[in-house]
Amino acid sequence: MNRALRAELLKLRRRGTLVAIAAVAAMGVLASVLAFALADDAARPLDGPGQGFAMTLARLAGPDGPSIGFAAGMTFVGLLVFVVFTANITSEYGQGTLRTLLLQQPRRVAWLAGKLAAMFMVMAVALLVALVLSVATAVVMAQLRGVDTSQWWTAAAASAAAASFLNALLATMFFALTATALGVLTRSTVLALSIGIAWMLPVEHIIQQAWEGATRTFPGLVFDAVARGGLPDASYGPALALATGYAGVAAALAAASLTRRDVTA
Amino acid sequence: MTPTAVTPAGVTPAGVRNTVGVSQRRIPAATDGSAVEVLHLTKRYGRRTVVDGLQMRIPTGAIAGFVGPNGAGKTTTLRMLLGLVRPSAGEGSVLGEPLTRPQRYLSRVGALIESPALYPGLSGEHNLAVLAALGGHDRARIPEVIAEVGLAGRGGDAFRTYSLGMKQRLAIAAALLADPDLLVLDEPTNGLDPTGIQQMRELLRGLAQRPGGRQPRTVLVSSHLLAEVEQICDWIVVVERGRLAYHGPIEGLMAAGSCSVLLRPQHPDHLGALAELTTGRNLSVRRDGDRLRVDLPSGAPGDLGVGSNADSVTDTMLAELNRDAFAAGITLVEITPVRVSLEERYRSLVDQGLVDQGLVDHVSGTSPATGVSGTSEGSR
Repeated sequence: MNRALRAELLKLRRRGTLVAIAAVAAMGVLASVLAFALADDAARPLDGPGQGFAMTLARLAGPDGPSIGFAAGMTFVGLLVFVVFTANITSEYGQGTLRTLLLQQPRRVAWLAGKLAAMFMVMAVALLVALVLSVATAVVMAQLRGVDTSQWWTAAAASAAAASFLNALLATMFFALTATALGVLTRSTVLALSIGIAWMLPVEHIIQQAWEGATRTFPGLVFDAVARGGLPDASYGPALALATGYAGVAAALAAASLTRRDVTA
Repeated sequence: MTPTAVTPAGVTPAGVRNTVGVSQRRIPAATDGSAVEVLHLTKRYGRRTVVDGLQMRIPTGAIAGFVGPNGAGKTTTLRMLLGLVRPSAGEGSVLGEPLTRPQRYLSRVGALIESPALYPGLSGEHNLAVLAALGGHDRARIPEVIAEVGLAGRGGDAFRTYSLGMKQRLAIAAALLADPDLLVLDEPTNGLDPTGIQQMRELLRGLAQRPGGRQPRTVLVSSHLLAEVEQICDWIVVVERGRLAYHGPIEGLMAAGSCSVLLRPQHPDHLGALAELTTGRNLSVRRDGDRLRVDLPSGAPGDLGVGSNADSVTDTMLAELNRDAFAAGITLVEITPVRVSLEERYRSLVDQGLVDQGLVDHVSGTSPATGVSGTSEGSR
């Protein structure tokens, strides 16, 4: 596994990786900007038509204010990670590089574990950069909107930021493992992305409109709940447990498929 | 699995080939250790059998050609040897380790399967660095192998900018990273122009040798270019429809079946009489311009000059013909052995549906049940 980890880290030393990190960071910055720009001046009821963005300047002044935008942006980052991991694993089949790699490392599960570990490390760096830039953006935006930042430089704020980062990391890992499983099972970028995106965007959200239990049941929504540290319809603990279960099943399926199926690409 | 040590008729195991290309290499003897050995290897995809009870052996140190028509199961067999495809049945060993444990031997195997598959956006050196890290190989080998395949000075260029020949070379460099004991190359000349093929041929010859007096590499080259195989290889495995047609020294394959000599009398008027003389010896004969082409019987590979016993049989037969012709008042001004190419011999075997005919008796007399060395596999 260590060899696969080092090999993948070597492979990731390229411009495309920097672009991906920049994209994640940009998502964090954009989410932070939007959170402050669209925040209401005073609290309003969350439900009902025409109530606007469910964020207030008072909420942003709290200890979790600087990282609220970062957490909100993780929904999009999760989808980005899903696409990146899907494309990464299926391209190994499409380009035929999988056979070249497995000749060097015939222990397939070790190879996959090392590869994912390396990608998770890069992903963690990307999220950290995104968090730092998001917080920096929040500081600037707070001055523009006149938000009181006295609670931002406290231990509670640091703890909230750390929790946001950890939740984002966990959620993106769940997205990544699901993407990897779909990629290994379908061996096709188009097919894996079609299935994954179609399910997690329209299908889950359409069902969510009709059934509130969807938020705490379906994988994409559950991962999102973890990324946000829990939602009204999906509390954090159960969401994390279910998401871990989904990820475990995905990892097991990926490992079984990779081990048992012939490499003919 | 114990190989049966049988050498095809007309082949001197430890002899030296006198054909072009491998004059410095010792022909592996059937009793040499096996780099690759498989028994009853089978691969089925659903109801389609791609490799059907294949039995073959490749001695250590051989440059072995693996030939067969498209769809004969060559690539699937190589994939099974390399642990990429799981056999449906059968057993085997590579470098003394069981086929079911590729992790035990792949560190000593280098391979290029089908087209070169590396990361297009990375440079040649970067690709090799990734593979060296994955395989646990010394990165100091990278410049060595790049130079060995003739890509010095181009290692920093992106893989996608390489020509096909350069991509093939880089993939071979990747296969050499481990300084392997066994090199498996699947159609390394595919898509190359004549110059590229010539360069690849030279490269392959060089790859078999290792400096410092170390044991030569075993090289297994899959190809459908029989002329290439004939020039490079000293051992050959022929597969047809997923089954073994022949394996053994190339000379053994060439020796199998009939070969011919051309006889030209001084006076063309004597062609008829000369034909009667030869048919009287139960030899097949046909006119070829002002000459007669006489087919010599099986096991008389005089045209190739590969085995002293076979040569003497042929020489005796030709001497008798010459004497009879002289006695009949016919002066022969030309007796020319016709060199049968590997391609002709191969086509002859495939066209005859050799597998179904149990050519085993024809070639070497080895039992099809054990036909592991220098033989073709009989019908089952």
